[in-house]
Amino acid sequence: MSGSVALTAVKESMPAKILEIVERSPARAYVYIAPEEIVAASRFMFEECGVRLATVSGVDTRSGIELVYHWMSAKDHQFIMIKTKVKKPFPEIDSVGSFLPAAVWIEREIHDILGVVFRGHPDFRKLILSDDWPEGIHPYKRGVRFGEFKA
Amino acid sequence: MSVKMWGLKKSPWVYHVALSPCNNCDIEILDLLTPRFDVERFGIKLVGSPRHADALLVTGSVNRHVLPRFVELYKQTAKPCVVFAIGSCGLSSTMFRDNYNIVGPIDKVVRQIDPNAIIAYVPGCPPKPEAMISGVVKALSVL
Amino acid sequence: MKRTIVPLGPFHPLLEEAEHFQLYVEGETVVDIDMRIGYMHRGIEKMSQYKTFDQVPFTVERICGICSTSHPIAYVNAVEDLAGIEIPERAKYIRNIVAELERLHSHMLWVGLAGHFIGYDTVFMWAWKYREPILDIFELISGNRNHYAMMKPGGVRRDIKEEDFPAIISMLDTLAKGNELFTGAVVDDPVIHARTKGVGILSKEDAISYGTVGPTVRGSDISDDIRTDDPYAGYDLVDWDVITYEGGDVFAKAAVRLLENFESIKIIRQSLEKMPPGPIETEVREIPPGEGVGHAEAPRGEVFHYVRSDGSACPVRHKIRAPSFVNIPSFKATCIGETIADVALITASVDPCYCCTERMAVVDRQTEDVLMSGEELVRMSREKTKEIKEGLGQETPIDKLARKLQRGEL
Repeated sequence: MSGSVALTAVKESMPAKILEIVERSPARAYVYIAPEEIVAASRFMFEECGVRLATVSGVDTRSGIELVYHWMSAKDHQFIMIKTKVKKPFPEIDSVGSFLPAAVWIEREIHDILGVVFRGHPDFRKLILSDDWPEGIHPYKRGVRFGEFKA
Repeated sequence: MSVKMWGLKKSPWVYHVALSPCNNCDIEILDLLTPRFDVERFGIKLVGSPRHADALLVTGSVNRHVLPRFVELYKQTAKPCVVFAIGSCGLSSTMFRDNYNIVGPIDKVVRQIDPNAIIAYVPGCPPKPEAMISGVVKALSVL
Repeated sequence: MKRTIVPLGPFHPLLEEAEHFQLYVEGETVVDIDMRIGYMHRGIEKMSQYKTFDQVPFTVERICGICSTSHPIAYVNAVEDLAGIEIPERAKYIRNIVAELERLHSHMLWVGLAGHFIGYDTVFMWAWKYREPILDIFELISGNRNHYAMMKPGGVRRDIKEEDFPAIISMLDTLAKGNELFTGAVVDDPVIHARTKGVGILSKEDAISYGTVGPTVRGSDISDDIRTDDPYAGYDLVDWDVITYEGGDVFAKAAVRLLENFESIKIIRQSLEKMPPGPIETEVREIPPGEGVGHAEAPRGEVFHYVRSDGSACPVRHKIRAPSFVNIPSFKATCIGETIADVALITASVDPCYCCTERMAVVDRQTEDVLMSGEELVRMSREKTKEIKEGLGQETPIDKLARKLQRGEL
């Protein structure tokens, strides 16, 4: 559909199995992969396609924690989202921050608010919550109601 | 008594404390130093340590991270002092009041340390510099 | 390990606990830097889940007071992406004008702070004096000097009336003249050259691997600008250039900001001329289930919002990423190997959300004693400038400008 160089490269040579691709518009494409392949896919996006990691969003859903990696391709004027889902109650995935400095803080933040463990992360301390924050309480999980838990 | 006369009689030294603000109030406080408002002609001076201050200009709401530091700071401030809660965040935490990280507005925290604390409120989001000057002048005439 | 905390100075809003940035030093050289954030964390993303889609712009505005309109623009871009909403042309131009006015005020603010850090206090006074008319225009258009609440999904909330155009244009004329004078002085000033050229270099590779955005990355000769990479509002309807500068040092980043002011003035002028009459909003009945991504070029870089909806009145998830979140980690690449006196400038050149810069502390690698605080670092920076000036022994272009200002000639 689009003349996007990066998206064409993803479709043809992504080293991860693509479960589904949804091209919502010329500027937005969503690619679904399995969580085990995230490092290979991310390396491909950064090194082969030359796109920038804007951030990673974590969404707590009934069937697991969905992680959306937002890659911005400036030359194609397009966002390519790599989506994957990790299972609860012990959500774990390999760390992209192990090779990409841009992802280091992003993964620390997701750990603070959703409790996802990033295996191989170079510096896994709390980032945005205070050091004396109670362990195990992750504010963005579905069970934590607004106004119920107070500092 | 006009403001100028009052300024000549008293030179309040203020110390600026930023708790967890969005910085708008802080920028408006810095604006007070610029030529248009120029609070130094009223004798209001920003100092480098709370020990020398007559008043604390506090912006933002108290969140969990800054709570121990704020308590420490208040205890170190020379008494008597006036705590100015600048901006809506300091008055009531506004829309942040139920958030998981917010402890509460400034007066809730200060009254727990010192029930007799003098607290002045300057509402606005952010309060205009004129409002801040007016608030500081009015309240300090109490001291 | 015993820590000695030095009381912090009068200029910046800060607390006595200075653990935000820790610089590990050996002698005068920085060998490592550690950053702690979370002081401003207020849980805004969680709040969004309990507010309706049109209430959220008011909360995201208050994430940062300086980039006050960039967050709402990125958010409404995300919602419009989600729901496939097209906004009317007049609204596009109004968004241009408000966003560029904000860029002007933020860059003038930065110029003032950088001037203070270098030691030119008249520059601080002058830059903020030129900033005041911009805030007056905001008050004219929206009713408030900051937090203007102009954005909503589907368009803008207020129109800019024709009778206000002359005031805006006259302000732009004055600002353009002032900016030109100042840029000329900076480019020629030998002290500024000595303090900023070759200092805090962010190489192209580091800029890319840290994912930096905004003037920080454009100062390393990379032409990343959301306004052209993924045009929003009316940026593709007006003629302007992306400013890049090579070198990656503090001078390059400063140059990018000063030159961007001219482009902003260009964009605002064209938007005022080309703005067609018509509606300023599209009616939005409901937001369907789905997800949307929106971003905007704030004065500091890319502001990113991701919104997910399940068809109800409130977003299910709202993810926000401010530009300083990706720019601040790049200090690991720019500060290490530099001297302590330069650190204040290097951190300021990235233009982090103002409060972050001040919470700095210098820690000795061996003993873990806190040697000096953020205000000390600024003081060291200003002293270094004084030494360089004394070495030069002549009046610099900025000094000449300062004298003119004091005499009221500018």
